[in-house]
Amino acid sequence: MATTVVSPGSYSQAVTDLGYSYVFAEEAIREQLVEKLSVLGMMPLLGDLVGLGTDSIRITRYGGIGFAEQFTAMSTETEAIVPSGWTTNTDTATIARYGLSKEETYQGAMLNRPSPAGVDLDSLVAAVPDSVLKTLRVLMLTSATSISGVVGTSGVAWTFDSELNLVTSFNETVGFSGQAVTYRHPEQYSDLAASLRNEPSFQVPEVMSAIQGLKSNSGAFSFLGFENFSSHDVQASAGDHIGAAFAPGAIGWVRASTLPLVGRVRNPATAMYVPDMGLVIERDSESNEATAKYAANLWVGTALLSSTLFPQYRIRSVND
Amino acid sequence: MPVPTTAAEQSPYPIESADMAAVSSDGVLQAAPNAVFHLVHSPENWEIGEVEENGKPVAYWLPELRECRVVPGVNLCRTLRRGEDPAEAYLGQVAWLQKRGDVVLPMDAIVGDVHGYVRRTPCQDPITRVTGHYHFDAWAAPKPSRPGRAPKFWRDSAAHNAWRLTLVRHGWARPDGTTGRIPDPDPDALAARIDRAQYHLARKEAETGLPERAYQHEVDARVATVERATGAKVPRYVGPYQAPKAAKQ
Repeated sequence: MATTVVSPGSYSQAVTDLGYSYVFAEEAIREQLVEKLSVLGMMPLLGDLVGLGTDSIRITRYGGIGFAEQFTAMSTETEAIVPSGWTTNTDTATIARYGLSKEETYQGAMLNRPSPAGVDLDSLVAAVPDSVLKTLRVLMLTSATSISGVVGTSGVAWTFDSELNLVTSFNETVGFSGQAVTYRHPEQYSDLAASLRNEPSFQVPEVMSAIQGLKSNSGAFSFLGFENFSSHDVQASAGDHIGAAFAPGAIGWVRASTLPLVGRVRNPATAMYVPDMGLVIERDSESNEATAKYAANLWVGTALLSSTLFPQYRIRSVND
Repeated sequence: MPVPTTAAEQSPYPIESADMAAVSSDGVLQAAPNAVFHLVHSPENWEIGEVEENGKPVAYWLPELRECRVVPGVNLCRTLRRGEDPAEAYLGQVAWLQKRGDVVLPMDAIVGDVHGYVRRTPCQDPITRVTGHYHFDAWAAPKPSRPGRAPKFWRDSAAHNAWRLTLVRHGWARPDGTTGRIPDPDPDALAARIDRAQYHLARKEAETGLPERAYQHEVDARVATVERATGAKVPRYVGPYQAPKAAKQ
């Protein structure tokens, strides 16, 4: 039906037949806020299981010799020396299979605005390595919930008293080298900052600025000998945040390289391999349903090593 | 990972959470699915909680329990092989925890009148829309939350503390008849925590530079902590749980 435009001609009269409800800004699609903390630098690679005939790897340790053992005074010139023993033990790390997949229809691929204006299958595939880093971060923080030692009380906010208890716990551990990192939820740092209000000795601009400026996407800030990181992926348990403090190396990761899969996948021409991450990404389509998808498989695992190797404590405080 | 079946009709806590309509307009908890877990206790970890006795709160030393998630690839949990029993995935993790001296509560543990401690509710990741189950302990319930906010939970701390006290006093039983218990508190572990509380009181009493009101507030808070710690009762194992007999008519 024709639209009669009454003089003066106006936008409101013309837009229905001749205009647009909206147009898109001429820019690439923007990414929403997300935490981008990578923990690969904090987790040593314990091994690659490719070709070893098992999904588990053992990490060995010994004790009771060297600096851990002193000579015994002999009572006579000829007293026989009784040979002493030593200890050995192991930790074990296991890999598991993880998966991620996205799918789109042929019609969507044809008609939707392509990257960088929109989101298509290619841009989704490009984001997979970031998902691997996110997965490793979550796995590391989940491993940390198995740490036996704990500082803090369930249902109670973290305080400076708790912070001093944490420092003391590490300093009184035999063999502690002085290096430790913490991973905590941002709320745990907020509680610490609030508690520091009534600690005149520590109300210095550098400390307060560092605590207030800590962001989950940024690096660490140093406080009382710890390098402190912030992450929203710190696990929650029974209404509490379960952060972790440990000597670097306490949590390691293992992988299975995906190189043996070269040539074995259904579409070798389109498969992508990231052996260093244990990752393979395959693309496929279903012509009957007119859909295309990618399927990413990842083989990694994390393990908490013994506290006799790396001092470690959970940091427990209320999640409210 | 399947949640072991518990006798829901015998427990005051339903297996599935309460109606989600009051919590989320989508009718489903808006949270990323998470893994089922074991409750684990390390013998040196104790904290103070209040348990109601004769209408009054009484402070007790109670075992600190942590949730060890059963996630394949983490701390000896495995990806299952085809046809394998689901329990095989986490047996390695349980053995590893026990080898370190921790006490692992079986998911189907019956403590007092409470069967099991894992509850779950259907959930949906608010960003990726992936659906699954959210697992939490029996004394938590999701709070209503606005879209985009991380889920928060109510906690029935009184019931949780009473359950933990029962756990220490009577241990647990399983449907297959096996039993287990938490070791009694180590006096040295409790003394260490009392010492730390007393240290912080002394540290704050010696503080200078605080306004009088703030100083008094800080000292009073630590005095209360020390009194609570020194006055808290130490529970001991007394034997298997006996259900209270019904009162005669």
